[in-house]
Amino acid sequence: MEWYVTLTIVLVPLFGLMLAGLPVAFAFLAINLVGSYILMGGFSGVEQLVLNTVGSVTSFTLIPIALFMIMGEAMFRSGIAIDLMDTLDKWFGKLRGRLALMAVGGGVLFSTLTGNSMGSIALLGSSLTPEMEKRGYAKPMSLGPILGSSGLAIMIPPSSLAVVLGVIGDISIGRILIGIIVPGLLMALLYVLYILGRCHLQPHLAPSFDVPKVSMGEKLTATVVNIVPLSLIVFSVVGVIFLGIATPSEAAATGAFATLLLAALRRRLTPKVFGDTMFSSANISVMVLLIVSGAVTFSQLLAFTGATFGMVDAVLSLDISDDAIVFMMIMLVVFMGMFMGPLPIMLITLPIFVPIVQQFGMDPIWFAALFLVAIETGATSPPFGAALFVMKAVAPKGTTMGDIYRAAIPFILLDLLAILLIFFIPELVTVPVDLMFR
Amino acid sequence: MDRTLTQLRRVFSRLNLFCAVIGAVLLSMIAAIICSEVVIRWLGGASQLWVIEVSEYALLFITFLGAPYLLEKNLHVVMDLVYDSLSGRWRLILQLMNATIGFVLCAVLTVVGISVVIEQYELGVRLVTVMRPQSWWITAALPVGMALMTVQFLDQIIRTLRGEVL
Amino acid sequence: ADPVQINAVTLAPRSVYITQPFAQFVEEVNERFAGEIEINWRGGPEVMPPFGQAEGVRNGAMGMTYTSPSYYQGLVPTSGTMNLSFLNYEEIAATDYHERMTELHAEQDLAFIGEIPATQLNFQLYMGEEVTGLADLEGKRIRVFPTLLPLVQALGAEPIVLPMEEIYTALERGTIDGFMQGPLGQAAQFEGLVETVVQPGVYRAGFPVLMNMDLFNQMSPDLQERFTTFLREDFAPRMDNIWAEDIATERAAQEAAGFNYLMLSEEEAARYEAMAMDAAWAMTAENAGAEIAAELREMLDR
Ligand code: NA
Ligand code: NA
Repeated sequence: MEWYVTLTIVLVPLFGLMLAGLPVAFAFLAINLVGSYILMGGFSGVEQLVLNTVGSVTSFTLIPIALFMIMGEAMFRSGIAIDLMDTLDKWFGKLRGRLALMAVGGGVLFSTLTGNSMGSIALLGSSLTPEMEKRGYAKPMSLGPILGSSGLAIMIPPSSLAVVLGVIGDISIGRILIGIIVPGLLMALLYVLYILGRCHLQPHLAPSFDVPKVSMGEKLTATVVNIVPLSLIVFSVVGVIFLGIATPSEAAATGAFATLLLAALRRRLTPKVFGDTMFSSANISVMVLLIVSGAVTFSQLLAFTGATFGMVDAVLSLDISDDAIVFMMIMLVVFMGMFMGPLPIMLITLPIFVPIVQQFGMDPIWFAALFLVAIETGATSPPFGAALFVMKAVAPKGTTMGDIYRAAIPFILLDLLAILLIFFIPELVTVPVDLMFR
Repeated sequence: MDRTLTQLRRVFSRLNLFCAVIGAVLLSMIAAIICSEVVIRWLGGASQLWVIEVSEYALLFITFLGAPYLLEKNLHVVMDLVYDSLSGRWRLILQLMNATIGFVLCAVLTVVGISVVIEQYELGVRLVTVMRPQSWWITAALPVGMALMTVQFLDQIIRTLRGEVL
Repeated sequence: ADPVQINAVTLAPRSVYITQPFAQFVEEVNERFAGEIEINWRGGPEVMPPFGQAEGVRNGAMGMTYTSPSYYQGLVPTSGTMNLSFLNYEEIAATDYHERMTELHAEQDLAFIGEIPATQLNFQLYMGEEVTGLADLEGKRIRVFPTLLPLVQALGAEPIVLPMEEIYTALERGTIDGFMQGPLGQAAQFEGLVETVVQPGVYRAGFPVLMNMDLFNQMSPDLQERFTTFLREDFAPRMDNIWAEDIATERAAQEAAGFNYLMLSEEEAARYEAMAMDAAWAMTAENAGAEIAAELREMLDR
């Protein structure tokens, strides 16, 4: 069967079930059940589905998502996030979009944590969005920047996906980690320019207000009280990795602990706040993990059908220039990201793509950087990009999937712009790498 | 009949909540053991080899123990593009369809899940890890959660047939 | 009759060096047994998680797997012994080892077709700092996967279990001091981080080819015989020593990347090798039973 036929047969019912209102996780599960029954020998296939579903959740790489949820919920419920925003208002009250910019800043800061974009969204989405909305930020300016900047998690070292890319593609991990920094910062810059521009054109999206004149002393006091202690959290996350005290996944736990500790020191960690934090972070983790497990097993099924290899072959057999082939590879990765997770995409494409890129005489590090931006773009792309469902799980009540799609799209376009820039200006990747590894 | 139903609902509702609370406790435990692993190693102590593994298993149980509670409260992530704008009959029809699909799905996975657990138990299959636990009690998380969700979807079917919009 | 259709899955993706021999196996089998056997290679870990592949073959969701012996020790506790030898394939094949493995797999309802050997792909110790002898390893934090745990403990080092994607950052930041892996693919990945590679490597590599029992029984006894014999006596011996060139290329790359080779003295090397075997066999005895461990070790020891 042609790959696009298989893909249609699988994706249309999936989308149909979701549109009909079956919860996303169960829609995946339903397709997985029918698919494994038909493809993998009847009930043997269903037994395998049970094993694969269990295996997909029993994974250390997913643990940071749950731990970030604790951080985000604790920051939100103990009022740490609100204090932070109050202080920012005191300094920059007149700057339109300051909270959106703060979200991008948060994305950059926590990008020093490993993990995929889901962790960042869990953290920033739960701690920032409710308060941003309360302060009059429209969805495109509250959800969008978080969705956009969450992907920086994989673009700024340490990055577990970059390491996996190095391992599967047999490319220098050290060089990839250096090579992705400038593209990551470039993306952050594009997001900032976009936020400033859009807030200028549509001021109602991110209200500014005339801050009552605040004295310098008051500003400084607020900073010392509300922002300086946050360095404890930042250290417990970034510092411990940098000093080799904890691995990136472990740092998510020390970060969660530090956040709770800070809340306790400020006498805001009542038993109720603690209980609510743990209960609600566990709940949101469940929503996310159930979807992730459904999506992972779905990817496995799709790989079994051969449709994914069909896509790869179709791209490679196009009668176009080498440059165009590589560009199409990257676009294919974005496309696959709309309905598959990063790891399966890497396993399917990298062993085939990397040798071809090398054969074309192109720089594999440059390709790796493009590849990661593409993975990150796909993860936030409708309809099934996993990051979008995570956002739905953490966003304030009343946020619709449509809101999330609309908020995501400008940032996807910016990511595509970043891909184009990196594609046509390889020096963005190669110059830092050459400087570091002479 | 209605009274029995109400009582049954209350029993399962408590059961779901109980499982979800266990999930939250397990999550706290994950954070605690990973933090203590970091601190112990930092102070020069030996790495606790079981920490990663236990966290992984806990994550699995959090997921399947917590899912029934979320289903009861209608908190699972839903693609609301079309669904939320519907009302009246169409909404009920889709609701019935979804509840039925969910019911069949979870029932099948409960039954097959149990048979996998029994098979693993009889064969003595173990996970290939440091702790080498028997696989069956890890796998058991799935049928437990699925069974409770089967009940929830059944309740959704009953409610829908009585015309309730969920 | 129609050919027996076999869906196959492998421990690593297509086009990765470790699955090259299996690709060739599929090609040769489909040609030589045309009309009788047709292997349809579905892919690697992207299709089925590596640690679940043997169970998937057992329950019939997949027809065949080309996997690592240590990935299904939980199902066939003796499978890991395939790594525990310093003999080459021909020497092992001359014993009853493969026949015995066939029986042990059959007890768990798995058809052991044979192994695709790679004696040269042993396990090496990569350290992020200078090491001058085994004594230097004491107290060092070394990332292992569970099979190698007993050896690292025997060395007096401290084993750490980490997901693969964390090795790089952990080594870079000093959370771990080293790790144990095969000889290929390390130069490119760990350039700038690895200081010492301890030589010699230990154990051997061999990748079992397993089949679902019902599917295997769909073949006539004659076909079963020809199929197993083809793998064990024709194909496997040809594959055992194909890695020399790759290893040499990789070694040059490792040296260019700044890896230094520590050649253990003859006395230390012997002690290291003995330690590796004793520790692993002790673990096997514990998990699979002392009697069967002793019986298999008899066949595999030098
Ligand atoms: Na983005
Ligand atoms: Na990162």
